[in-house]
Amino acid sequence: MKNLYKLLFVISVLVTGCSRSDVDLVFKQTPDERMSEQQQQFNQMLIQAQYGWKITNSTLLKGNFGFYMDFDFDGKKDRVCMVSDINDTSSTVVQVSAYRVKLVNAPILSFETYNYIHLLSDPNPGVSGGVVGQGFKGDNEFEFVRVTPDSMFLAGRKFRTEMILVKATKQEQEAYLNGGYLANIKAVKAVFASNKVSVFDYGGVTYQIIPNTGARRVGIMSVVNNEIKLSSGNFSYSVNGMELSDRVQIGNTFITKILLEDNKLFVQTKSGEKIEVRSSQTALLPLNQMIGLSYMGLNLPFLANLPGTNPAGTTILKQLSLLVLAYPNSYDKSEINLVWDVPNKKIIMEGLLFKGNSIYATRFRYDYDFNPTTGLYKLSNKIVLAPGYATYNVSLLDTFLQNNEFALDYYFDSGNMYGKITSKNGSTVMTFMLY
Amino acid sequence: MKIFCITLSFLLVLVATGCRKKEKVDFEFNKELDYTPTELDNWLTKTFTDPYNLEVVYRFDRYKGAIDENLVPAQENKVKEQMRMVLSGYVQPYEIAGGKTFVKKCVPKEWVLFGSYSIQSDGSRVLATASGGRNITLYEVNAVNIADPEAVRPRLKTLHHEFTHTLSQIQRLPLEFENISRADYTESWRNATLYPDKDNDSLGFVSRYARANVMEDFAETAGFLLAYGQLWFDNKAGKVPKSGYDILKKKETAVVNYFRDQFGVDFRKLQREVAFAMYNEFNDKSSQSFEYWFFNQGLFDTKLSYNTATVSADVKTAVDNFKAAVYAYSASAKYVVQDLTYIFTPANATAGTLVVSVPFRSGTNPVIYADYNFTYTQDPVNHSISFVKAAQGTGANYTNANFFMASFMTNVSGYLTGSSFKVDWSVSKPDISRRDETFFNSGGFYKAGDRTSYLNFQLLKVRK
Repeated sequence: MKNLYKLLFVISVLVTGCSRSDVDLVFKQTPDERMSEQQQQFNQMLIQAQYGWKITNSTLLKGNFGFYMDFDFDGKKDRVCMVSDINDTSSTVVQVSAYRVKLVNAPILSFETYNYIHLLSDPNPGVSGGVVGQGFKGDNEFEFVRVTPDSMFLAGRKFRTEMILVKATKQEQEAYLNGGYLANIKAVKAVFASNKVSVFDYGGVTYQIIPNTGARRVGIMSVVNNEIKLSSGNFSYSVNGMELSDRVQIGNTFITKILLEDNKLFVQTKSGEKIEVRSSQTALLPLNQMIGLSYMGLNLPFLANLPGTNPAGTTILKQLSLLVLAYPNSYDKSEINLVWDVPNKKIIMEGLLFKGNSIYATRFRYDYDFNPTTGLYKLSNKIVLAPGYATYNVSLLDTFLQNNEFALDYYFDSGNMYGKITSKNGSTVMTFMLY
Repeated sequence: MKIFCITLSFLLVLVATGCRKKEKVDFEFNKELDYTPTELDNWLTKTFTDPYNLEVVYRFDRYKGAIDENLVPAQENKVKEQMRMVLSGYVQPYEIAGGKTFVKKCVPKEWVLFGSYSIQSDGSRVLATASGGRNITLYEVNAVNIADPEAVRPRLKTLHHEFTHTLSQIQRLPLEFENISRADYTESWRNATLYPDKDNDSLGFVSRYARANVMEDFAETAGFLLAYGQLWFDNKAGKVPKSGYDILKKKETAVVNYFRDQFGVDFRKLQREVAFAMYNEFNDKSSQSFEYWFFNQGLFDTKLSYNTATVSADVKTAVDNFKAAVYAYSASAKYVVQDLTYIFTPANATAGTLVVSVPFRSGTNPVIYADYNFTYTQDPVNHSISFVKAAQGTGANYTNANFFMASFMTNVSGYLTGSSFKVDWSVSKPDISRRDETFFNSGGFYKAGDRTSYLNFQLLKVRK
């Protein structure tokens, strides 16, 4: 009996000693397998668009940009070809680079070698503009957010910029790859330019389109019961026209696209309604009724000599830029603002000097008188709000404002709309951005 | 019981050993993470990974750079340019001068490339970083242009600078070097008002950055000696005050000794190989030419001596004829020519004057001179030079010159003005190349189209 126990003991040692317990998988696959499955799935989704994708990608500093991309085009694995509306070259020359769907916590789409999309994030402003160290704050890597049968929504990993991909058709693909993109962008600008003022009617209301191709924004304005309504948003170009993001409102709906068909522009609403855009020689409201209400005022960017400015105007406006150019180590750039304070009938002139994150402001305030019959402004009672460092370099503008009556109008050029100051005798004309 | 014990121990052994498994670990990296290798990947593998076990990471990986900075990846065509620069301007020269083993052991294993610059919050740009003796990260790869030697040189300097850091992380800097400028390093090396270039020069710093601390000084000295070359270094040293010259030369010696003693690297050979790569691969033709350093930079003494020169037989015959004529001029004085000194005075980059000055004497009387004037024009593109006899001046030397004018015109002047010449280093030794030790020690000119007729002068570097 004693031996039997011993034998049982030995048998139990033998039986249990070698047994291995297998890992009990909750989802029947290892995490590695499951992740890899997800990764393949997303990669497959990118590849499956037979004719590639029409893409809108946002940046934090400079609005939206349009792209066309084809992943694994011509069966070339891990390669993507693209064009973009960033500049004339990028919209015509197709460029190829490497991409991958990688696993970093979640599957991400990474553009691994340089292509047009990196022009938006390049930290060197010499490449395509933007801010030192940041570019336009665009992303290189994108997480997958959601997917519908014909589109995908991605979010940038660093700046959470949006990337929206919509499947392209065969015709669209052909246009994108064969120079149709730039031709379309130019055609859209040309229609805006020849229209002078672009308007359309919807629900009994006339709307005016205010494109700003430099800033990649478009505004829609209307006057209802003497009340100005302005709604604006970022846009990017596609091969069909313009794609609007944000909620640009007309009536109770939104505009999603401005389409170009047979050299005519059409506004497309969210529900797919198409309204033809017509041309007009006059704006809905003169600028002197909009300033201070729809626009804060006039702005002159650094070194800008905007179309419409005459030589006398250039002399006045470049004065501050010259200071920056003379002291490149002290200042990065300058700007001039004229801000309308309509309720108090005051205009504030700002000469701003920028260095790194600091802004040094010179501010003068004037009382103004507006004569609705002649349309002329007359300024008086100058008060120095802040002396700043620009006092002696905005002196020409200051003298002009104090000694001249001037008119304020729109100025139209290449489809863009600017604000124009003309002296009473017409000898000085200065053009500004509206903001 | 005994049997039981034996059985038990046998079984225990069986239990203990029976379950030992010899299978490999049941894990494989996710193959989906791999990419399909492109032509570029294959080239990198063949050129770097297979022979040297280096990995080149050019595909964007946020975690390989500073995480808080915005970086973009490199352009694929620029990756190849950058890595060609690494190969011929850095790896291969070290392989030749230090050996295969040295390269395999010491060259960092991971090379990370980013297309843009990396800019820090204070606005300073990082060109490259070296860490742990294992990694080198290069920025601004998209700006690389290997067709432009002036763009390659500073990048190559950065590379050699960083690798010198790597080496000094393996073997301590020599005390010999540490003691030279110990008192002159400063944290505020960027401040050009407190520390003007003039002071840096007379204190013997090869660059402003070298003044930061001894590690940077060492890396800068080695970096400039390699990427900018010995001629550049001597030219720099020759133009600063004597105190600076002495210190720079001391530092140079310390660097050369360190490479030899600690790593068995022939630094001089390394310099020549890098210079050759710059010349051969990166189009560094004009700033490695004889005329650049002689006429343009004034690195060498512009008084060239015939006595120490090597000349072809026809030149020797002509000069001997002239000497004989001088000797025969006066049966009583029996003038003996001591030398012919070719004195060049550049007026600008391409033209100037040449005076052939002939010292001669009668017996043991004092040496007197006969001077003959020429002008020259030099074409840096074709490396050619041509001479024209110019009007003689006035004074004793010119009066003396008249005595032997006829023979001089036939023999010496006739040769110089008879054809145009090509200038180059070591014209008397067509069989030695830029990679040879003595190549840059002599230079002169030979008849255009006839390499066997030449004057090759020994060159003497000038200093303050």
